This record gives sequence, C-alpha cells and structure tokens, in this order.
Amino acid sequence: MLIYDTLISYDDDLEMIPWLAEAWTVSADGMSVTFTIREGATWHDGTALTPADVKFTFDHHKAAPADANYWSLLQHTTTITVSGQVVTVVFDEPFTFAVDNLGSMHLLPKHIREGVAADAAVWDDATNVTAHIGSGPFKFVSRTPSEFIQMERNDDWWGPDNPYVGQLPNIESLRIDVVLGQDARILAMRSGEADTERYEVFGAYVNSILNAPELQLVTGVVSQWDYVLGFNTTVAPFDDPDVRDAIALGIDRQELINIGRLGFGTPTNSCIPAEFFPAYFDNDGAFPTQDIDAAIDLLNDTYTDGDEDGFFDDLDFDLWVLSWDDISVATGTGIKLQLAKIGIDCNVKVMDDGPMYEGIYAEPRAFIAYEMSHGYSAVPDHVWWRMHSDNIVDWGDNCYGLSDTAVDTHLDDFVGATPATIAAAARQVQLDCLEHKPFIPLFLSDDTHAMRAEWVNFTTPPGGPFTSFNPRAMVFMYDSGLVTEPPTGVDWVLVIGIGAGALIVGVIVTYLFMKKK
Amino acid sequence: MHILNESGAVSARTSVGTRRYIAQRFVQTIIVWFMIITLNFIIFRVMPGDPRQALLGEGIPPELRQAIVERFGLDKSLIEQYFIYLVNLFQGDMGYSFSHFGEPVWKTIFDFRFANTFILMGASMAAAIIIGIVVGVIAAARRDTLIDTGSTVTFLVAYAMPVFWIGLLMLMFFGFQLGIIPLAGTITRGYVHVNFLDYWRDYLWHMTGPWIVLTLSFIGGFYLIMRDSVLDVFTQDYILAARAKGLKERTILFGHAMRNAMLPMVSVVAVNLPYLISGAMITEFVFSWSGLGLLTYHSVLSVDYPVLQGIFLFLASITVFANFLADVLYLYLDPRIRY
Repeated sequence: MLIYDTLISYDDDLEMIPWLAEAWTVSADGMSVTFTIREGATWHDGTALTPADVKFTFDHHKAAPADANYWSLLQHTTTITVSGQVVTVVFDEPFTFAVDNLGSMHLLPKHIREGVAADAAVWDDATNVTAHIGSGPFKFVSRTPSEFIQMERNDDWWGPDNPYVGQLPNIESLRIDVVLGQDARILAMRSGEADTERYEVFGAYVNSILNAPELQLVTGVVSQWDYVLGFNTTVAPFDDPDVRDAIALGIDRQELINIGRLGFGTPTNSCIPAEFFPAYFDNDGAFPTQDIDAAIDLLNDTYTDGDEDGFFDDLDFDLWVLSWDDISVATGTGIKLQLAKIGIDCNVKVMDDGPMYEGIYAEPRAFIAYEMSHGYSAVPDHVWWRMHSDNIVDWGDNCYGLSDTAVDTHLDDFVGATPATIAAAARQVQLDCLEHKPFIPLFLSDDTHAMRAEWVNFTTPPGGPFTSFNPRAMVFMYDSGLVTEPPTGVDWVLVIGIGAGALIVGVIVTYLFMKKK
Repeated sequence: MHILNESGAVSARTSVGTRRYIAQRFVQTIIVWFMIITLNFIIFRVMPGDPRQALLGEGIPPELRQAIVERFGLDKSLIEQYFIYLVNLFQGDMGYSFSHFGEPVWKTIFDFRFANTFILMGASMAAAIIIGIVVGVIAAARRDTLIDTGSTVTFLVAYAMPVFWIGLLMLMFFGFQLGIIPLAGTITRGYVHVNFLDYWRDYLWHMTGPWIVLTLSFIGGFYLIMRDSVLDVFTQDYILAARAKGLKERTILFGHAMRNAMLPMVSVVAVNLPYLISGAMITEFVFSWSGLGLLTYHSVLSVDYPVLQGIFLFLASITVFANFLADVLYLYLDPRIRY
C-alpha cells in the first residue's frame, strides 16, 4: 500500500473509500462491477497509469500460477473490458465482496510486467529498482535483504487530487529496518534510530513504553486479532447445544480482557462485530452478556454433580491455547476461572503451533475446544470459511463440525449477495452463529503501538494505524519537531551498583576457592 | 614425498596401514553421511505439525490449497518424496523455501546468511580459542594462584551467564546509553558505503556486540580443557627432563607443555566446528544479525521444511567431515598413533 496503489481503500470505520479508482458500481444482480480510474496518475518512472494497467493486473493474476493471490476469484471472471476510464469486470456468479477483493489488488505496471512470468526471480531482485515500480505514495529506493528497505516520497502522487487524501505524505523519506527483539526495538525507538514499530507491544512491555519519556503508546484502537472460544461440535460435551449456550452465558468478556490483555482489548459479541465491521453488524445477532444463574439453570436440566466436587459430571474438557501467544494462554486461565463458576471444569492445555493447528484444522479434528485469535481482513467473508460445511477439507477452517444445510444456504447467500440483499444476509449469518454457537467471539486485542512522542496526527482505524488497511496513516502523520530529549550518558548509579555487586561476588567466590585449596 | 621419522623408517602417515585406516574412516564417513541424509528426510515427516498448515492460511479456496500442495509435491507418497529428494540432492537441488518468496534453498542459505554466520562465529571462536589457550596455559603454570582461580571463576561465570542476557545488557549500556555499538543489523541501515573498506569498517563495528558476547560464552570451554590438559602434561616425565636440562620455564611451558596439550584441543575444535555453520540462534536474534541461526529460528516458526532440511544437512555434513578430518589430522599431530 506504500509503493503500490490499490483501487479502493478504507476509512476509519472500515468503509470503502475511493483510492486510485474515483468511483465504482455493482450491478443489481451482483454479476458485474465497474471501476472508474483516476485520470492523470503516473507510475514512478513517469509513464501514465491507464485503465489498461488495471485490466492487465487482473489478467496477469488470472493467468498466474494457481497458487497466486486472487487467482481463484479471477477464475470466475468472464470478461474484463476497458472503455474510456472505466474498467468493467463480469463474473459468472455474484460475489458480494468483488469490489473489496478486486479493489485490494496491488496494481502492476503493464509496460514493465507484461511478458514476464509472475513468479520470475526479477520481481524479488533487491537491486532492481525498475522491478519495484508502482504508483503509490512512496517510491522504492533500495533494499538490503534482512536489513532494511528504503523508500522516498513520490512527489508526483495523485493524493492531492483525492478528496479523501488531499495532500502528499508529510513524510519525505521512509525506512523499514529489521530489528528483531522487542527490547532492541524499544531501545532503537528511545534512541531515535526508529520512530515506531510494526507490531503491537507485547503485554509485558507496555509499562516499559509508558515509563519511557521519549515514547507514547497508541491505544484505543482495535487490532485485527479476534480471540474466540471454539468448540468441536461433533464430540461431547459440545455436541450438546445447551452446553455451548451455557458457556456463552458464563463468559464475562471484559474480565477476560483484563486478565488476558491487561485491559487493552475490546469485547466482541458477534461473529461480524460492530467494532470491526460496523456496516454489516446486526444487534439481533449479538451474544448474551454474562448470566451465571441462567447458565447453571440450563445445565441443571441435563447434568448432575454426582460426586459433589462442585463441577457437573461429564462436562470437564481440555481447552487448547497457543503456547507462544501470551494473550491466548492468559485468557485461557480466565475462561477456566469463569467456567468454574458455572460448574464446568476446564483444563487449560498449552499447545505448540504444530500440534495445535493440526489438531484443530486437519481431519480427524483432535481438539475439543480451543481459544486463540484468527485475524480479520477488511472483508468479512471469514464467517463462510469458519462455518460452511463445504469447507471441510484439510486445513479448512470449519473446524467446528457444524454441518447444517440451512446455515450453508445462508452463508452462500451472504457471499453471493447483491447490494440490495447484503444487509439481510449478513444479519442472517449472525443469527445462525448465535443460534448454533460453533464458536463464541470474545474480544479484539487492542493495537498497543509504541511510537516516538513527537509523532502526531496518525489516523487510527480498526486494524491499527500501521496495518495495510490504512495507507492514509502514513500520509497524514508527521513529526511535530517537539523532540523529547533522549536520556544522555549512562545511569552510573546502576552501572556502579551492578559492577560493585559483581566484584563482591567475584571476590567472595575467589576467596572461597583459595581457602578451600 | 616420504617423510622420515627419527629412526629413519617411512612415517606412519604414509604407511599402508595408515592409508587403509583413512580409507576405512572415509567409507564410514560416507555411510554415516548417507544415514544422515535419510534421517534428515524422515525427521521432518514424523515431527508434529503439518507443513501444509504453514502454507495455507484462513480463507484459502480448496482449489488454491490443492495447487499449493501439488506445487510442493506434498500430495505424493513418502517413498516417492524420498526418491525425489535424493535425486534432487545429488543434482545440488535442495528445493524451494516455503517462506522466502519461493527462492531456492541454497540461495536462502548461502546468499549472505552463511557468510554472516561464518564470519561472526569464526571471529568469536578464534578469539575464544586463542584467549582460552593462552590463559589456560598460564593458569595451569600458576596453579592455585590468584591468576588461576580468578580466571577460572571469571570464565566460568561468563560461560554460565545466558547469552541473551549479556547481549541485552550490552545493547542497553553500550548501545543505548553510551551509543558506541549499534543496536541491530550487520550494517548501518540507510547508509550508502563509499567503498569496500568503508563497508567492512561498518560491518565489523556492527559485529562488535555479538562478537564480544559469543567470545565470552565460548572462552570457558576452551580455557578449562586447555588448563586441565596442560596440568596433565606437567606430570609427564619429559617435562621433568626438560626442566632437568635447564630449559627456561617459558620454553617448557609454550614449547613443550602447550604443544603436547594441544591434542585434545583438536578434538574440541572439531566438535565445535559446526557452530561456525549453525550460528548462535539467540545471539543472532538479540543483535538482529541475519545468519543461519536466525534463519533456523524463523524456519522452525514458519515450518519451512526445505530450508530446515538444507540447514541440517549442511550442518550434519560439516560435522561428519570435520570429525573425519580431525581423525586424519591426529595422525599428523600425534606420532604415537600408528596403523
């Protein structure tokens, strides 16, 4: 999104906004879409960017190897035509999110890419500037693999002509460095070598940021990481809908956020949550809030506590959490504590990636229940992947075993809706998820970004200020010039303290050695 | 060329028995190497986790999944995959990385990462060996003095301290507070080097932090073995004889004791040679030093089987052949060995 443009982008509510395309339309039957391409845009080498480049991009991906991005979607196109500034794409079946998907493709220059295979080595040649020509707000300057990528502002960018942008980026030069450890990244930001970092700060480091005068912590923005509690609905006890209902009633999301994310999270109560997809959320599909008495009543109808250990018999289960994700592990503990209140004994099992993913996604599904994040994109078609029975293939996402014909139909309607039917279709799948509860949405982890204190004016849409959802963040933000002075010199008290301590220990150990001998 | 020993006979190193020994060791080495190749294939197929998972994320259409699986040959039987692996291997083809834009594995390993690791580890081990040997000999000669005990304690402490902790302290004090070492990388990011010398100056400056950390962590092992070895040599008759001849203590120490005490060091160095290749995962991570240790770490996380196979194969090959060379070298270094 920095070097290459897309046709559309998203505003702070994740609503589509014009980007390189000034406008778009979707036909009433949802079978064809048009994009009106901005006039006057150029590639970084000065060549004019035309609708023919957009058509080329679509054709290029359609003819690429089958494992290329967007290949599958483009196989369903019947014609791609250019007329004036308008590119028209016709599909063989309706795709609700055709504009989102086509509009998110990085546009490629026909005059450079034509005739060269999509997987040719030249596209990954770090020294070949021509191979990295795009039309975005920043130009590729150089790249040293595993070290850094250097970019500079594209002063010929079309941004000033787009009312949703209205200016060139304030940043003239941009460099992305590879700094692996969180400690090293914080030091790099504190010393001024870096201004911000790509990923959110781990929970353990939040206080380090808050205590560093040179840094600020960007908070209050949901990240794309959605934590859910997922069930294998084909095995006991989760083949019983009442158990799933009871657990949904037993969950207190804010408490889980406090335990799992130190308070930096946003509760989600729908499979298409308002916090990320406000245009598609429907309150009728919202999960209930915590009601412990109702949960126990529900379980009392079927289950008993014969051994009087405080837990219902036959309801104990293993909850898988992901070992390297401290949020997943801590939230698992929170769930265990909450479920104990409704008489369910939950054993939190910390799993490494390999066994966890294999157990959840591969047939036969070995898991009973899990809790971890999946990750949203700007397009809410994840519900189809998670709940549709057609998606039961190796490494499919319908790990829940939900095979319901009506739900499948509703999901197909959702991803094949027209503009007139999309709201109702989105509402229906949320109702389906609420009714069947193959998974319970818990919360979105908040995007706790560290940034130099002097940086201001960054936009903060869902997904975080530095995700690919929002190239605008890099356009508007700037350095205010009010530099907080980094600490100078050494904390000699600490150095002398550590040195003296080491010296004393060394002398004592040496003395003991000598004495013994 | 025949080399005559003191008695005038043909040296052991060119005798028939010796040649047969070397040939036998070579055949053994090849067999072990072949077993490693096979093990290297099997081990990645039996470990938990499916490589396909790494390739396939959420929301990937079934036909796309299938295309990816077929592209990497993951749909074929294990036997079939094994023979493809063998044939490709002997053609110098180690496959394509799952995660590095599908580039050939040999490129992922040797493009720049191998050099980064080799230079860093080589410099650290060389410094550690030299310091370990010299201080080890001195400590043995001054046994039970303050020098001996002091150096033993110091090097043991350095040996025992976790490298990531020393690394972080170095970054904190020398990198952040004093600003005399860089915080990350092998070169200054964004800086255009004026010439090759300028590049090397920058490179070596960036190497300072990880080099010190690794040297500190390596010295202990070399020092202790050298010290014990020299102490053992001191009990030998020829040292007594040397003293009786009235040789200077310095000559006895470095001319007689050290040279003979070096033999165990050959084995220790040979055993440590794979580190030159494997890199130091944690140190490379702390200093963002893009070497093979870091590549291994990332490949494990991303279940990049072809790269892991390539690294392990390379590593195992170096280990096997380094040990073979060490055995052959012994023949030359130790005249007592005869076959």
